Amino acid sequence: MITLYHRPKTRSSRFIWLLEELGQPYEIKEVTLRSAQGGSPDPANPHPHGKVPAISDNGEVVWESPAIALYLTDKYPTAGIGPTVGDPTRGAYLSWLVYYGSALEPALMSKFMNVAVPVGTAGWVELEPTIETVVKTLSAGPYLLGEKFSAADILYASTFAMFGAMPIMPKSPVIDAYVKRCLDRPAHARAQAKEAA
Amino acid sequence: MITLYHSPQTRSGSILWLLEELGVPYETRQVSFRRVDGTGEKDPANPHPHGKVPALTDDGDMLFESSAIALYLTDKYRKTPMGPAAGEKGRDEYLSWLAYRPGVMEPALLCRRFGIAHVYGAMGWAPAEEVEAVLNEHMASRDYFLGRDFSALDILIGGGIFFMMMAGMMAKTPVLESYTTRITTRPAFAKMMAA
Repeated sequence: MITLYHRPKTRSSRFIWLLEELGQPYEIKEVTLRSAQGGSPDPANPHPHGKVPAISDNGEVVWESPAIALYLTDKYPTAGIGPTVGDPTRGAYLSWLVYYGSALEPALMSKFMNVAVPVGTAGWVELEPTIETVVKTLSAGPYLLGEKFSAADILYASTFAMFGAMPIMPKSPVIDAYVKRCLDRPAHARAQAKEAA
Repeated sequence: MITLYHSPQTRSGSILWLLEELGVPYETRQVSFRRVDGTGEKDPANPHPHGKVPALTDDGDMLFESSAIALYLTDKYRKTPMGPAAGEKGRDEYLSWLAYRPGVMEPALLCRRFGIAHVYGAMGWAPAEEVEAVLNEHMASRDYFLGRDFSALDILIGGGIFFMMMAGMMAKTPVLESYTTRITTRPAFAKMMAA
C-alpha cells in the first residue's frame, strides 16, 4: 500500500492528483511542517528534512517530487503517465522531471526573493528564460512530452496554477491554456474533492 | 553513439567521470557557455535549452540536467552497474538522492554563499547547515552513498561535496574528507580531471 505524507495546500497536494491518475490504492497521512515561525520536523515523516511530499510503499521510502513521480510511474506503468526505460520520450521525461526541481523551483524562488541569479555559478537561470523554454516546448505540445500527458505535466501545471496569479510570473496564454488542459482532468477533480474532504 | 556536451572544470565533468566508470564508448564535444564573469557565449551547437553543460545525446535521445543524464545512463548501460535499476533494492534511495542533489543540496549551499536566508514553507530546499548535518550523518556509517557499492550518487553528490569543500562552500569534516578521498582516488576521477 502506498502512503503519501501530506500537508494540505502544499507541494504534496499534487501527489494526490498523481495517485488518482495512477489508480492504485493509497492512504494519506497528514504531517506537520516547520514554518517561518519555527517548529520541529514531524517524526512521523520519513523525509530527511521533514518536508513534504514523501511516500512509502511496502517498505520503500521516496522523497523529492521528481523522484516520487518517477518511482511511481516506473512501478505502476499501466496508467501510462510516464514513459519507461527504452521509450523514445524517456530522455525528455527524465530531463523535465529533474529540471522542475533544479531549475524551475529555484528560478521562481530567486524571483520571489528578488535576488539576481549567479549565472555560471548556479545550476539554474532567471525565471524569464526558464518560462520561455517551457513555453517553447508547450507550443509544439500540447504536453511537455508532446502528444501524451505525463507525471511531468502534474509537477509543472500544479506549480503554474499555484504561482500563476502572482505578479512575478511572466504572463503567457500558452501556459494558461496548458494549466487549464491539465487541471480539467477528472483525476485532478477527484484529488481536489479528496483534499477538501 | 553517446555525445557529451562538455566544458572543462564545469558540472559536465561529473558525467565524463560517470561515462568512464560505465566503460561505454562516447565522444565529447567542447562547447562554450556564458560564464559568471560575463565572458563566453551560448554555443549554438549545444542542445541544452539554456546553453549550459552538461547536455547529452544518444541515438536520437537528448537530455539535460546532470541527475537526469546520470539516471538515463545508469538505467540503459548495465554492464558495470552504477545504480540500482527499476525494481531493484535501493532504487527508492537512489532516485531520492538523485533529486536531492540539484533540488536541495545545491540551492541550499548556493543560498548560504550568497547570503540568502532560508524561508521555511516557501523554499523547496532546506538550510545549508541542515544539509551538511544530513550528509554527515548519512556518510558516517557508509563507505559509499548507497552503502557498499560505488554508484553514480558518489559522483554527483560525493564529487559535489569534494568540490564544494574545496571552494569553501561546505564545512570540512573527517567523515566527508575520508569519503571524498575514497572516491577521488579512482582512475576515472583522474581521467575527468585530465579531460
